[in-house]
Amino acid sequence: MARVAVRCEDVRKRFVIRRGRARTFQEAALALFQGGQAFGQRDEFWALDGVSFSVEAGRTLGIIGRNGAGKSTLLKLLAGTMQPTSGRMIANGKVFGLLELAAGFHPDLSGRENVFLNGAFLGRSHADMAKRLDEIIAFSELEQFIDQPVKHYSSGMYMRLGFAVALSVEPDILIVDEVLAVGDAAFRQKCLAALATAKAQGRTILFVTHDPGAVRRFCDDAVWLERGKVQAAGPALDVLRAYLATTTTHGAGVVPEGPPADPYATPRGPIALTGVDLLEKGEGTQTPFRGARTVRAPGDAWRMRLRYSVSEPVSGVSFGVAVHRDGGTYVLGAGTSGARHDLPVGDGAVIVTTEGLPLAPGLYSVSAGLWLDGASPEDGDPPDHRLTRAARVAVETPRILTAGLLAPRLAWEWPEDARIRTGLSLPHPIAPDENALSVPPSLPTPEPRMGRGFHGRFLPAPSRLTVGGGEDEFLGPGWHAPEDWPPAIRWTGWIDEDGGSLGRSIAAGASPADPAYAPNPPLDGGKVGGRRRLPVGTVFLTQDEWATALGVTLCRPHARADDADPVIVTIRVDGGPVGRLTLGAALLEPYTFPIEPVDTPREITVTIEAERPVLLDPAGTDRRILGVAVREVWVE
Amino acid sequence: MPSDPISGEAPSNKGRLGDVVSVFRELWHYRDLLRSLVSRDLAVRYRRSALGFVWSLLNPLLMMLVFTIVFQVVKPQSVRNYPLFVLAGMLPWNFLAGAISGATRSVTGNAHLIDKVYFPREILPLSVVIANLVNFLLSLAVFLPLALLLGARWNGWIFALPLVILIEVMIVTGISMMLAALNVFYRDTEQVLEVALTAWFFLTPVFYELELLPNQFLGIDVWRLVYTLNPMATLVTDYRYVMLYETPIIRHTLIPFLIGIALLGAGWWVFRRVAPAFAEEV
Repeated sequence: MARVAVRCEDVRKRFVIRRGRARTFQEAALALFQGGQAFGQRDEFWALDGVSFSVEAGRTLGIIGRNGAGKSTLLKLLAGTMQPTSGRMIANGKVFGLLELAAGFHPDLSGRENVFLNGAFLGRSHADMAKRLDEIIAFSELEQFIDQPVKHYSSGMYMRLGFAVALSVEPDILIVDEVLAVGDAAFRQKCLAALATAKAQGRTILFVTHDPGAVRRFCDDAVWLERGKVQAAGPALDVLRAYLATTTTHGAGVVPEGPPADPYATPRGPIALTGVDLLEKGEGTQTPFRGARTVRAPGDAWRMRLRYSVSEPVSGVSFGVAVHRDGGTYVLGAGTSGARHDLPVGDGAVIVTTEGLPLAPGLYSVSAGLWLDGASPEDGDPPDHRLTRAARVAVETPRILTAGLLAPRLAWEWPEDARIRTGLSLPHPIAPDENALSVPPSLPTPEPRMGRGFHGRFLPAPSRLTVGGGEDEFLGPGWHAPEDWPPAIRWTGWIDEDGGSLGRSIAAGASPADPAYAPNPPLDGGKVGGRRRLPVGTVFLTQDEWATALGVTLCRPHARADDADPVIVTIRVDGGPVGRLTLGAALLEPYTFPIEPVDTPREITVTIEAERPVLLDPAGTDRRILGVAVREVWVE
Repeated sequence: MPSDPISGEAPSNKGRLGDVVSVFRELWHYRDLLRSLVSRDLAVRYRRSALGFVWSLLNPLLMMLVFTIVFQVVKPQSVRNYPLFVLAGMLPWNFLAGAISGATRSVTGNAHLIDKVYFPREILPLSVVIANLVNFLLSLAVFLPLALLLGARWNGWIFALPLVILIEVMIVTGISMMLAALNVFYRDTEQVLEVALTAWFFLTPVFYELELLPNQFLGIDVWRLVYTLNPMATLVTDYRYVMLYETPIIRHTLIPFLIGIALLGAGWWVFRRVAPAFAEEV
């Protein structure tokens, strides 16, 4: 049996909320004269109520739960800053929480001095920290600024230094709070990589979050806390399923402290809202709502169906929807804006579809309201019926994109002379720039280019990938960025048996006089000069446990009158064919194919093979050999 | 071997006598933190000032100037070499006042740390006391040659100086710990302290001679009262005797010594007793 790293035995923590608690001498004295009445008023609150669990050494435990579930209290007990009211906590090894990133930095001291000070707070001797100083400075990338007072640092620099110090302490048990929600993406990836290293070194990690996606990606086991009690514990996925089941259904009473009773919860007229569903893309009014769990990725369009029931004919009806983020932030509110309708008796539904909502990962709820007789939300009229939190949606992404409320796709433009560095010996996840991608890759076989990290990856592959969307680390070699096509499209190419690429693009600005622009030899049934060509177009994706289909949006590159033969495309998952397409026109279309469901999320390699090469410009001088144009690949 | 902050084997913070050893063992493990905090204190104190450390000497010198002008010009004093006399009282007093008022804010001022990192909480007030002590010793190092130059005379009793300093350190530490803990629960400790320190300052013969206090005032022997109840009165006089006048320390020095031990024990006990609740209260 593996060694237990952390064990909690029936841990309870009580907070006493003293109303009229004397904070000053005066109040204390007054309380005495009042017969101790004000003093005696105390409410007890059990932040943790009999929590027991244990973590084996080297495992990663996710602690999930909503705000107020007791996560922070548990952390503080683990970190030793608070003592449990009763019960025992046992930790075998040095515990260190990342929640105190940069705690104890003194603004007037230099970065270097603060390294030593912060190290001292973590129980590290001066000599110890001196040994690690170079490593810390290198990781934090603050070489030039290390002797500046930290008050001149940006918050990102502050975080980098804090994280670097924290990691250098090399605790046996690492508590990771949601510190990773801040900082820029590159730094976050670096942190994740460093955490992966810590995990690989056999450290125990406790990961506290309310982001279900993070638990799924990083954790072996999970504990779900709810109002100070352990609601479920066990393998991360099982716990997560249970957790999401309550958050995505209309489970009344699940939220510990719900909003006050809605005064518009009972219909005032002969029409009532009966429910709100989130529909899948393309689903209509007939299709039933699919399962309890609604998951969207950032940037997905939301298709919301508001079901209603009319008992006698009504006139001038308008509808409204509102989206709130878990925790109450009002994200979106919209009405049918002036479009009022008369509705006959019976059940029905209206559907509203949004554009892509670039919402940050998190839990969201959808509320709906209706107005009668010409009243409308735009005029500030009270609704005639309202359903609050009628549907719940989890927005998830396998990648942490941004901090804050939004997670749009971002494009960063660096100056020409900027050079990428990571400070780690891991390949950098960000492609240098668009131009560089049109240079033929040198890798002969489509192997994943990223290193191994949590669950074997530095970054887990997404379940949906826009091929030209900048996530190039999940593309195999051989893709080409067209010059005049929308950027979110890439061409599959052909690479030589021995690794040389035949379908090379021309770097921007190259002319036919340029040596890089060597016309390709004539086509010869998939062979050039006797060497066999391999069709390429490889994408790495994560297949989640609920996914049953693979989707591809693609088309042939150009439909030319002089190349009228259809292009036949085979889609393979891990080498096995799942579908075959015949492309006739240059119109991007989505196609889906059923795939084998899996029990646990796994990574798949999707290959898009064109059965014959296509010349970009058969009549002209551009002799590039291509496959097909691809915009998006996903599993669902 | 560091004691594990979250295991059952952690120092129980209950203030029992048996824990004294483990308390010191833990403090020893965190000695580098103590050292870092002290040097941080000293570094930060003078970092942005043009004169730096000179201030810790200049400050009492200027105060000395003020007192000299006030008491020599306005109301002539009989004391020989009055500037030295005042300075010899100011330096120990500034150590006490600086350390106590700094230490009182030390726990509440570091709430963000208390909440997040485990370390022995004593370190916070202790580091303030030690930083002020270092400052005091440095200013003594400048003061002593200066005093010799200006006519002070020493004999063997100068070796009693470390003892006098030790007694003051015990008193300062005890009070600091007690007030640092109290301030967590009642924030107006800081306010009361300001007034109390001023009152204490006037009851301590810093700018006058102890003998100046009346033996008979409304039927009270103020002189004897102050002498016995205010340990600083004895100590300041002791400082002057050994540093300026070749005089043995006064007979009553045993009283401040005992008071020092009692304050140190009580202060530490109280602090240790309530420290586990700090994270919830700050």
